[in-house]
Amino acid sequence: MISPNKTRRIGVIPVPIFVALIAIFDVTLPTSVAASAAFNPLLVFAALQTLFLFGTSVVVAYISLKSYLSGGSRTILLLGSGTLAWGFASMVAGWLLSPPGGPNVAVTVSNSGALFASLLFIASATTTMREGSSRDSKRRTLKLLLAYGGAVGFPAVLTAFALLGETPAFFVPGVGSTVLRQAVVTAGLFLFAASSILFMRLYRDSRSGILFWYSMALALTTIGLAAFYFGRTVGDPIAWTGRIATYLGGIYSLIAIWSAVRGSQGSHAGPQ
Amino acid sequence: MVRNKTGIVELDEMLRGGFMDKDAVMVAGSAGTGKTTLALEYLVNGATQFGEPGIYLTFEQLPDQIYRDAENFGWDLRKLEGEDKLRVVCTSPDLLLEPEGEEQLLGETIRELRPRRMVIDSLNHLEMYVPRGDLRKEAYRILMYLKTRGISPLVIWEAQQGLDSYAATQAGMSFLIDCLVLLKFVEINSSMKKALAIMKMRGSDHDKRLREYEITAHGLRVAAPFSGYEGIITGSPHRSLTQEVAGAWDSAFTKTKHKQ
Repeated sequence: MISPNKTRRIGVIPVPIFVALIAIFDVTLPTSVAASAAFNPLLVFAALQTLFLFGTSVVVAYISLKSYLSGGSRTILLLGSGTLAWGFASMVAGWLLSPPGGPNVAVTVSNSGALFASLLFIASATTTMREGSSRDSKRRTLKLLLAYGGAVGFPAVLTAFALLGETPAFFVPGVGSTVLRQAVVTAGLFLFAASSILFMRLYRDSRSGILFWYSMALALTTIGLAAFYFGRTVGDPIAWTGRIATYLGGIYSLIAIWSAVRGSQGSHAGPQ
Repeated sequence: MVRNKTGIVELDEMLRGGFMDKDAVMVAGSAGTGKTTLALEYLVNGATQFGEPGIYLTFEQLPDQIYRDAENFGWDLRKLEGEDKLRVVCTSPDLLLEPEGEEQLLGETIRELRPRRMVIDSLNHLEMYVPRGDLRKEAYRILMYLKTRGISPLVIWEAQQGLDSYAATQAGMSFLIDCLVLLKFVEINSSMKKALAIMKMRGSDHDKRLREYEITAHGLRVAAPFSGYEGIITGSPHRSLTQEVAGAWDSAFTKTKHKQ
């Protein structure tokens, strides 16, 4: 039986691997080669986004929902909302890469959704620093509806505006990312990284497997966002490295839930 | 449809507005669960808030004890008696069980006060005075006497913890009772809590959930449902796996918070 500490040490390994891969591709991969190597099976991409990002986010959001309704922790509410926003925006972006969407619409929804989610994550991570529980159980349901509704509603509205061409360009085919996209991705990247670091700091105090795996999930998502920032074109090797990092992040968030399952059963076995 | 509000807001919500008029209500529970408090609050609120005078018939306590206990909740029973809104009747069960006993004991008070509500505390005392199997007959006689005079009776039934939901049925009372309110101690996370459930309400929808309640300085207050727990009625409450996971998820963050 592998000890929790050893499992966690193994869990860290993908982080430097993905960073190294992105760095190597960025240094060695000429733009022309990256463009010719671009691989965009639209249905497969949409399915992967749905399964690994939306599917996993629904599980985390559901557990956070149950947790918030019984405990009233604002941290949990924001965490669930952020996860749901990220998963939903990623899924929508995945399906919109093909018409009637296109690369600009998909990138707009994905990157703006990431920034929105990262704001919720950083708010969640910072509310752990102070008391933030709703004692009024009657109002929890309303707050939950507002928070989760907003988490899904914002990407939905953004998608509608992007499809109508009412949003500024994020990605111009043949040219690349706009300054706006770079600013949005950089801000999102910074906030995801900060959230991951804050949760990891909390993990150092509590040694909770849940915090470890969730922090690592955010770290991998950060790497994924960074990869999009370095990518030359949609579907190039750097983009896929980033995508795989975010999918692994989704799996890590499920491992965080699994840690909660093991914790609730009072067992120390498994990847806690 | 006429409803008799208890005046306990959350309980009235559970009852979809209150007990049905002239329904025989049973409040069952083990010792210390607050049956008498609930019954007294029902009478006091009826008299003070809804203009419905009431009678509190007890075989259990001496009047001074009742007045004193009620004062602890801020209920001045003597004042209500002075205003002809309430009567406290302490008697022996055998007097009530005599032929025409209810008329001799209560007739004059009913004519004077014209009560709308009456509490009998408790049916268990009658059980001691009647041959085995006759309780149903005696209870039926008394309840019908009250109902035919436009009075909504509420009877208290003290049952053993763990058997409370079945005790009324075992005594063969269930067909006489239109509404059964169960009060129960439950152990959750190593602490004793009180749970309230409406087990039966003939001819009306009602809240099916088990709700936590507390006895406060102002009477009984019903709190949130015991959501996420299973097996509370059977006495072995445990949370569902989802709730356990949600609890672990929550404590991972909140425990950390306390260490800050």
